[in-house]
Amino acid sequence: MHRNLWIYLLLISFISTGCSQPRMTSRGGNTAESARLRVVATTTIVADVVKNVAGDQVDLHVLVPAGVDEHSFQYTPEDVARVTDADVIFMNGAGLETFMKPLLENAGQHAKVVSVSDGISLKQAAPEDEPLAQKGTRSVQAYDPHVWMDPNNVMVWTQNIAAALAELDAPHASEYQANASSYRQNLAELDRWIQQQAAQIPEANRQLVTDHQIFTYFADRYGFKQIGAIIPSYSTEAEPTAQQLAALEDAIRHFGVKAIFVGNTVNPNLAKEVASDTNVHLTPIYTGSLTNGSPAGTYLDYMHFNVDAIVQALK
Amino acid sequence: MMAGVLDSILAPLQYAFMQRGMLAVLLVGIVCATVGAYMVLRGMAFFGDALAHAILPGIAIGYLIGGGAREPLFWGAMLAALISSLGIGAIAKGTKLREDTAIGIVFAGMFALGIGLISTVRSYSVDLAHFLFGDVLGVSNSDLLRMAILGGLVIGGIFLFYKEFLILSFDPLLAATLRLPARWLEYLLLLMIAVTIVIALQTVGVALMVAVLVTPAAAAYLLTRRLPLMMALAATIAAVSGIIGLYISYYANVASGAAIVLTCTAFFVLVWIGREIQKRRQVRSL
Amino acid sequence: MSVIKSLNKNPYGKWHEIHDPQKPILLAEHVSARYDGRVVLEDISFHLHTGERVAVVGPNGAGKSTLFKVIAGVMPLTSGKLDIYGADPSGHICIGYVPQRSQVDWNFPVTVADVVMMGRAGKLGILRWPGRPDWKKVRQSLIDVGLEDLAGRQISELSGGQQQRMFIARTLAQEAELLLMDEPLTGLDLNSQQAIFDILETLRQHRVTVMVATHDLDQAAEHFDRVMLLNRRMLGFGQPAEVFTSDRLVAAYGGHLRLLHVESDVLALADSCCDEGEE
Repeated sequence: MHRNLWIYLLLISFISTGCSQPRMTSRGGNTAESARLRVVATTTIVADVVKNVAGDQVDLHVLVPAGVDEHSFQYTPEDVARVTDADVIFMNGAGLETFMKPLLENAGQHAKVVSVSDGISLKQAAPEDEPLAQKGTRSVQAYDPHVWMDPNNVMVWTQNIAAALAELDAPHASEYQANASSYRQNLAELDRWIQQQAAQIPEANRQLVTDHQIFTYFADRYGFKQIGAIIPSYSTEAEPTAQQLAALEDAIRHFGVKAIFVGNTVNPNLAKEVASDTNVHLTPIYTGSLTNGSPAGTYLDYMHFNVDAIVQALK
Repeated sequence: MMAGVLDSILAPLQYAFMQRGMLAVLLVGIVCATVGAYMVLRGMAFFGDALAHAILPGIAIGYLIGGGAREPLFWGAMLAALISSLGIGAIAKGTKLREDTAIGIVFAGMFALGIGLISTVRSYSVDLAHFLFGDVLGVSNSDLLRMAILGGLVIGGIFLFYKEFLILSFDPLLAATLRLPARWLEYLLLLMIAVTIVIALQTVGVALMVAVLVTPAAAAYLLTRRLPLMMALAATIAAVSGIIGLYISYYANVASGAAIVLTCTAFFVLVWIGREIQKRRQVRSL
Repeated sequence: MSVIKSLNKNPYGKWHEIHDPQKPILLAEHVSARYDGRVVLEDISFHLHTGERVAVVGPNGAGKSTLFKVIAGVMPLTSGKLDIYGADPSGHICIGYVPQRSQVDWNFPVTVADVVMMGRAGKLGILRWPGRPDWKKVRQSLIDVGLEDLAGRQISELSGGQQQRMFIARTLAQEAELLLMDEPLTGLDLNSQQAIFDILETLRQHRVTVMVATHDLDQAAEHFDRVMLLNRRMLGFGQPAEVFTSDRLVAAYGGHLRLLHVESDVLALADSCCDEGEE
């Protein structure tokens, strides 16, 4: 493919020079007080949760910057270096980070790679969620990787993160566990709040149309229906066909959908056209990434913002 | 049965995005094929392909500055087209390299620059695919208006300067003895090709652009011996191919740009085979 | 600014031709020209009278085409002076150039009438379409060369002689007063060649001055008022008998010429191989 070629070439030239450099990482349990864990998180969302569990005890680096689409992210040589030097890498897993496999192969796997979604039962967008099933959708779809849309899943994240950190940094293990526990309280509160908010929306209006399919876990937990998506896929990498767009417009009209939700990492051009053609409001939310600072600088803010937007649009 | 066929034809048209798409491919087909007639007659196909690729950095810069708005993309593309043409001219005239080598150098360099710039943006990278292969489903009404105005200007230019371009293409020496402002006319033609490419960007994208410029005109060239008729035929073939291509894209779930180009090519092959058959019949009847 | 300067210099369409009837139609003084760094023409001096028919003879690479291009004002001269009716060639649109047939794209989708109409562009100017008088002029030009029946044919359907006559018709439509023909007789059979000469005779009656580049020494001697022997330098200009002497011919053609004495005549055999392209 055009766009990967030059990156691979640069990468190869970098690796061959990088291999000869002396490395200073310390592995396993740290003994020196000055040696903090080098942690890499893939997305800003994962990073935020890691920060909440790890506190100030680690050096954290995020691979996919805020505002960048995690599905089509392309890593740089600097990212490879960070991964090479890392002690532990936290990734969402569930098939979200398609770039991880080649990245890890290039970096050499020295670090412990933790998929924070381990243990969460993954779901597919249920067929009954798409009553006018968008034609032509490839059925090789795996599972919806956007597990964080249900705060209860993020609770599982905290457990996985705390366990991994504790294993690598035993002295601070109790701290990590305490942080995790406290953060889970926040998540539980968030869960209750969302339920309250969702109750404000009449059943008939609880219909979600998005730029790509992200709300499976949210819809399941809080009683919404995913009517369809501009790109009927869990990833933004696909292109909708004419038939898929036609089916989506039919669905929107048929169900009297009130809003289309578009994320911050994808070009909203196509969504804009569909919205104006069907006379439906285009509502911005945050999907794959947090923002730098407000209004969605942390996971909790992110969920608050999105739920507020949904409630406003669908009430 | 007829009702079924009629239904299949009308069904996609109930969607506004399909209507806009149809209009877009119609407009683009007509303009591209008319300009393409000159490119076929003057052997400029490679140059046209190169120019289509060379506008990528201009689009990238327009994107970085304008954040997705259409105007900056257009001006960026024009600027890149101008720089590329001047560069090709400079290399071809200033060194002993042939023009096609100069074209290859400039085209590849500019294209790589474009890819590099777009990759630095790191968000909306899916738009690279749109620039390369087209995004006809996302055509907006303002896009259509822009296409119509610019396309009208291009066709108007061809009409107004018809005899000048004709003489320049057929007999540059006559153009010189009649003191036609040849250099300005060449620049004008270049400008018109660049505008055409920018208009067509959304329907077929950079990678496939040369096909809609050249293939319908080439088929028309085989069919007729008069230039005005050649242009009219080319425009018709392109328009029909565009529409058929969109229908194919709708019913077969195939990328629209590719479907349009394949239809153009199919037309060309049909014309070519038809001519061969006709030639053989003529030989046999002698 | 160069845009305005060039527009003023070539007000395409609004033309003031400076035809000074006192001056000769063509006056060349010590004209030299370069092409690709080489000297192609050196110290050419001559003048023409209105209505004259002159043959330019020389081997391939002698500079015949270059001379014509300089006269037509499409190639600059490096030194010397060349005036058409007392003014620089680039100020005139009355010079008709008939190209070599081998250099024309015969597959171009134009008809005979289209090509002849192209000659009118100088009179029409930018943004104007041909009107009735222009079509009349085209029709008349076609009649003058005997091609009126072929007006609607695509140009690849013409024979060599017809192709040549079409270009002459174009210069008639152009109302050219000086006609430069680059090897029009090459490859034509004798009948076609004769047809061309007949037309040239008609042109003379219309006071059109003609310069023809040719390889055929015999024809040059027979059908032209004066001949020029050219091989980078002008080796002779005047009556054929004066110019076509053995030593001058050998000087011009070098090893490509063989002179045979047959009874009281001299037979000159020149080979026209090895076309070096731009002369």
